[in-house]
Amino acid sequence: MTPEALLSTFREAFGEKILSTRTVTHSVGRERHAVHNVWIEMGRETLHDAVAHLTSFSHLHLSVISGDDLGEAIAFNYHFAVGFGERFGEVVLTIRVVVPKGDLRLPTLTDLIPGALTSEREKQEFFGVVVEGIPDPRHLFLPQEATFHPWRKDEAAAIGRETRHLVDWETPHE
Amino acid sequence: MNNESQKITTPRQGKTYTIPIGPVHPALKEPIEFSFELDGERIVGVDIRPGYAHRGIEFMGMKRNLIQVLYLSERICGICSISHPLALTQAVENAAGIEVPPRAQYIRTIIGELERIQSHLLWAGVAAHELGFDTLLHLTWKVREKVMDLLEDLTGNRVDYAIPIFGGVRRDIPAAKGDLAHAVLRYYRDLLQGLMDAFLEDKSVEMRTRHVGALSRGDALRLCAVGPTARAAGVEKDVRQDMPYFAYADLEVRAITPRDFEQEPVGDVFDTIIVRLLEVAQSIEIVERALCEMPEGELVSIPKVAALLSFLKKAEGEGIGRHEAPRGEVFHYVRLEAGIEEPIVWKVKAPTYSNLMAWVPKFMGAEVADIPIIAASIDPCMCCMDRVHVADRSGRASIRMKEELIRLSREKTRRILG
Amino acid sequence: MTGGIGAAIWQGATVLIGGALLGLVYKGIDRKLAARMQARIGPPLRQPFFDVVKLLAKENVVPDHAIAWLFNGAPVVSLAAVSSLLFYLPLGGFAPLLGGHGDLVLVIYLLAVPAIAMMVGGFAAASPYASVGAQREMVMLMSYEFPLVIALVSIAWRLSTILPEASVFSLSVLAANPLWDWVGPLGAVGLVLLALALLVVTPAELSKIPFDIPEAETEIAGGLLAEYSGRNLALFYLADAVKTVAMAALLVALFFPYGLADRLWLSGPLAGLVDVAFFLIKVLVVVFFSVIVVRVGFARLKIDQAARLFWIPVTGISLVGMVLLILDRVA
Repeated sequence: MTPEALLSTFREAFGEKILSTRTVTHSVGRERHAVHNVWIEMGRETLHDAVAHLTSFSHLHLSVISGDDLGEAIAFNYHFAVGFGERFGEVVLTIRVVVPKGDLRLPTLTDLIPGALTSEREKQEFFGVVVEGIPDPRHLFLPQEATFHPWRKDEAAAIGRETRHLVDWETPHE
Repeated sequence: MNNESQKITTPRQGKTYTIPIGPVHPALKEPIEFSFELDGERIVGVDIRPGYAHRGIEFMGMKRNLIQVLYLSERICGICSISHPLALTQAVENAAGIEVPPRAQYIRTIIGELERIQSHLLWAGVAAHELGFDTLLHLTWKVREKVMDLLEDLTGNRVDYAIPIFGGVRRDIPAAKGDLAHAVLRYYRDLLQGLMDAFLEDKSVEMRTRHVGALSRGDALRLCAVGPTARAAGVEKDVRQDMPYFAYADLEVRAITPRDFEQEPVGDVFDTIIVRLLEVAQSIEIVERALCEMPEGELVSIPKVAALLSFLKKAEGEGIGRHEAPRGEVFHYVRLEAGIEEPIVWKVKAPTYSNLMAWVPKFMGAEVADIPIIAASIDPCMCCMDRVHVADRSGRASIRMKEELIRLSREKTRRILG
Repeated sequence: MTGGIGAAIWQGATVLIGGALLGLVYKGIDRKLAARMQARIGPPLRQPFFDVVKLLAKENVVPDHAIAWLFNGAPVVSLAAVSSLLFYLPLGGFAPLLGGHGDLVLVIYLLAVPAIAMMVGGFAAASPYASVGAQREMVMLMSYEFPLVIALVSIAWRLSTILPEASVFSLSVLAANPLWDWVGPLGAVGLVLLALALLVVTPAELSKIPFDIPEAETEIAGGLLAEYSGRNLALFYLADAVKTVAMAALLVALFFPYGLADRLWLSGPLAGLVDVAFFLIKVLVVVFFSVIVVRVGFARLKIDQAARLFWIPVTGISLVGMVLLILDRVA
């Protein structure tokens, strides 16, 4: 699968709903072969349809969902591997969804990719986002009682209380 | 476990009981908690609770400059101590637009593949131990020492090789060391058939692993399994093949499945043994070719660390780095902002993270006796995947911070001393 | 069995202490040889002695929910049963101390007692691991007892047809009259098959790999023994060591009771010494082939696999052995 083909099926299916696209090509090895990363930004409401669209024509592997606290909003990057199974056949597709902090909700993808559960649980506990329809909302890594969200930049005070003296030089002694 | 209804169970007759395995148990080399619902000796439900080795590495990384993060990434895991730095350097190089000289790409490949040999042999020994076959454990770990010695010769360390740096590698492999490597590879080449026979022709190993912990191709795909776990189930997925990087782009690397052993994949423990042993053979071949075809040239594009740091401070962008670690795909995502030394975002995804879900279908219907080998079959690495978590006598769990732990341990020392 | 009560007590004490020491020495040899076969250096020969001394000095923990008297009683019963086994087995050139007071049937029961004691101890420990272990021990017991009894009874029956007037279930009679001297080729083949069946039963009886299923360290963390510590564990450890010797001595008495002294025309104390040494070597050979080699060469079986192994092939072999002995009588 080429990045152009991937992007054109997306444009065809979603048109105006695609907020932005970007293809980044890197060269690897002595022969300088090209490999591609595709970035697509979409709204939260189209995320589920976009993944359904992807699963309809290819085996889809969700590597992980990464989160990025932008201040007023949190960006979630869904990193997919599309077209694996043949040499140079794979494209890393990242679907970026920006969610405002006032309305931290995401749709679950577990109905399409059951393997997304681990990453969705992690995002819930580390960012405080509500994944709607998640089959197992428990914390994955943190204790069940933990109420803070370690990767939120606006919770620094609460996180600071929980992680004080991680290493001595990080937090000067009071 | 405050949400009992989420346990994955199948309809059953008769009375069942629950047996905990972990967080500390002889079958587990690292802490993780399994709660098995049993009907006699048969598993009808399983609940997995990781997090006992969660150290907040990504959080720490986002408070450090990138060179420090590189060293930190090397300490995520002791067995795949080159896999995380390789993925991180790629992510940062992609984000900042740093080129890696070809020779450095070959050296990264060589160390990465030697680590695979080491890791797979380690796994084979652990698997044999889980089966109660200690003889095989001792023999595999004995032969594993050769590659550990070679890694020490090439890098100076048995683990945490400190080879990659952003834009290249920190150490060369001179011709003399190359000869040494060839000798070790020949040793493994001669030995491999014997190892294959010991594992794959042994009746008692086959009795304990055939049709045990099977994972269907469909489940492997749906649950996003990676590495030998997915390949044993017949999914031809290998980052080195699908989206090559480093020297893998020049060398033809193909995903190994049990079909290469003329067997239809069923994804059971036996298949994972086949895949891992064949991958040792594959790694030997890759290292031999890489050593021969390694181009001359620079080792690193920005040799001075101070210059590299100031370059990285000015860099802006986001990047993804992936590496096929011995256990599967390692994935790092990094976002850099100009003027800030620390990465704004650093997300690490270890292979066990992806394979966590694959455990459930593997355990279902298995017997208590199969638990250790199925747990081991995905070659789990908890420290890769996962703060201190303490349960008091009433069963209440709470987080304990460093000061309190020190206070508690001092109290205990005083109590013991009377 | 001559002399007064004092002499009997002395003899008894010698057998008990000697049996325990011998058991520990064989355990040391077992660990050392297994280590060499696994390309390891292994512990020193006297390591089992250190282990027992250390365990005896350690705290004896009884779990909160355990039934204490059963939990503490099990190791004592276990050691007592295997120790009394020694009184019924011919050791070297010496007849069994209590030869006239019990026979092969008693020996079969005494062999089963430690397993039952461990099972009771396991259930009394109130630990899920120990319970699983106890269930497994029960299945194991039901699996290997059948071929064991077939083999023992067939041999005694065949001897009774030859020596109708002798008490053939007595081990001293069995040891004094090796069947090999009486049977034809058919019977000899039958005897070989029975010996083979008993060699497979031995590691199961002793809970050694591949039949250490009730203890399976990596699966159920020691199973039956999971909750045992200190003195109790030391007693089980000793019982295991003594049982190894007893089981091997039983096999020697049944299948190879020959002495060396007669063949070398020796007499007096020297003859006794030679026979004892020869007996010890025979025991070592049995231990080597049915315990050490087996535990080094196999992976642990699953409980259903072990049960199937004993119920079908091993029972089958012993039944064929029995039939051959019957045919030998008819022929």
